[in-house]
Amino acid sequence: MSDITEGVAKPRPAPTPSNMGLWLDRLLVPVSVVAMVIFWEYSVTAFKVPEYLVPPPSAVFRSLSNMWNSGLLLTHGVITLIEAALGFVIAFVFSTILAICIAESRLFERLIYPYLAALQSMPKVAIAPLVMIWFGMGIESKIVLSALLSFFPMLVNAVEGLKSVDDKRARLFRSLGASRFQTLRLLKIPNALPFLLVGIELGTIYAMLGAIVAEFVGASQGLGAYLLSMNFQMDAAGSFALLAVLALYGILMQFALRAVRNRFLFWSRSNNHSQGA
Amino acid sequence: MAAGGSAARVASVPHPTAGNAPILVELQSVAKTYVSRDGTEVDAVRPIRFDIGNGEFVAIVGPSGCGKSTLLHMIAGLTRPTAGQILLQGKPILGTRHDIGIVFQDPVLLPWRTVKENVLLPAAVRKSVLSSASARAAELIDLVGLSGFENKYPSELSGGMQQRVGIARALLLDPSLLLLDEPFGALDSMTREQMNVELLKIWSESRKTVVLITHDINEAVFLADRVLVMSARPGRIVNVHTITLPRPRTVSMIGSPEFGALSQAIRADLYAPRGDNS
Ligand SMILES: Nc1ncnc2c1ncn2[C@@H]1O[C@H](COP(=O)(O)OP(=O)(O)O)[C@@H](O)[C@H]1O
Ligand SMILES: [Mg+2]
Repeated sequence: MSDITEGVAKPRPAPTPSNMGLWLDRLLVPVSVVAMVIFWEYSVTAFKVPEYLVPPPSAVFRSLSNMWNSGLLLTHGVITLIEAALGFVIAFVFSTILAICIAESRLFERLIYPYLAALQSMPKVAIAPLVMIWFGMGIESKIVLSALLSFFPMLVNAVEGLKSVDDKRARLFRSLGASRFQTLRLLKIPNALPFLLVGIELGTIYAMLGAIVAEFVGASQGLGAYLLSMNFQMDAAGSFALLAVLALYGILMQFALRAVRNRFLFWSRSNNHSQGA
Repeated sequence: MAAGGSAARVASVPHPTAGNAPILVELQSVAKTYVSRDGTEVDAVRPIRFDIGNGEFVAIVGPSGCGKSTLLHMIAGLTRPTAGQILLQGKPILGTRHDIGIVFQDPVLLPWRTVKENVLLPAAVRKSVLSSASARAAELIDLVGLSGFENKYPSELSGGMQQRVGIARALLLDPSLLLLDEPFGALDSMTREQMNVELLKIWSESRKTVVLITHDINEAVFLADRVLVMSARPGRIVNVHTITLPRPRTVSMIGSPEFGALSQAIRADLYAPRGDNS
């Protein structure tokens, strides 16, 4: 490269010791993962662990590529993804509306609270067989269970966010003579966004869980059904491959939501809004 | 001028300034007692009688915790007095109003809104004035010395800059009564002096009525027509000083003997041994 282009190019920080540190930091995880996979491969072979119990990574990769090539992974995956996505959207809409009602009305909160507490303390996975009876073996029952499971973490976080408005900010809005709706729109909802995002993160995970569990209980299609059939065939490598796909879904979701947070909720970075369900 | 030294003057202080300006705000034996969670009562403000003339600049000084903010919040309609009442143009203040602008002790900005969007917040609440508000916001941002920062977020500003955003916000709807709760407390003395001059300019141009809480005696003397000295909690009026310095005021007056005498008198009231009159 010529000196002239060097001069015109945008200023770029020169590699410094701290930059080197950054690179080491970035490499740390990939290197440890590769090491782990190699260790796993060789220990399984060395200790002669039967493949139907713990398959070596190479067998898992082979299985994964077969699933991909046959098109089965995509067919089943898309079905489960649609179920989870629909369940999530339904749960998001209802939980957000309900959260606003709860946060805005003490009376409504008191009326609905006992039912919510009862529902929440119930292990919702246990409802799966009933959901099958009510909604059939088709996609509907999967969507319902998916919505049921993702509903509560999103509700809890949305309520928490709407209610956590700082007193001084509430006073500011009173001093401006803001109406209840204006306070909701201009103060409470923006204030709740970081909490909402935490709820969404949990919601995407629980929606997938709901769809898979419902497919376990009764389905002919979807990743849950596919996973179950692998199990029946004692195809541990296939099961591992599907579990890896599910883990990848979770990781991708997390990355996507982190990007959303950095882009739109940068202002809350200093605050600690983390809120488990 | 400081009034005589008897305890009787404390209970009632009628508007001693030239009676020519019509009265804007009347504090009629206003008092506030907070009841804390455990049921104990805290006397924050003892009954206060005081009148504020239209267009007057009143400063309130007093030790911290003496009820200054409480008094200001009552005038703003944010806190209900537990006794007495406050009249604005003869009518009792029952809630918040659009013609009162308030700057809180903390800037209280919304972190998800830019400087300009924060300044425009009162207009977002009062949709009717939104169209002209944008130009006005730009003007005010310029006035408080934040041009170029319109699109920055509060987290990117210093404390003093945040406070100035709060001032611009309070001025947006051109309130007739401006309430300022230690607005310059977080500023360095140089910026502070600058802001004082700006505030005088705003006040003299728009002839607003201003009530300013401050812990800086020089600031009070420099800006105000009258300085109200409050006692330690429970807050009551110890004395009212009429500032006789001519207007327009200039920074050079701060060194004058008259200025010094006034601030000395106020200081004496603040640190005087407390006469118990209850
Ligand atoms: N909401 C409240 N509940 C109970 N006590 C309060 C409340 N607000 C203020 N106080 C008390 O009232 C007194 C006066 O407070 P404040 O008006 O903030 O004083 P200042 O502004 O002069 O420092 C203080 O002792 C404070 O603790
Ligand atoms: Mg205060």
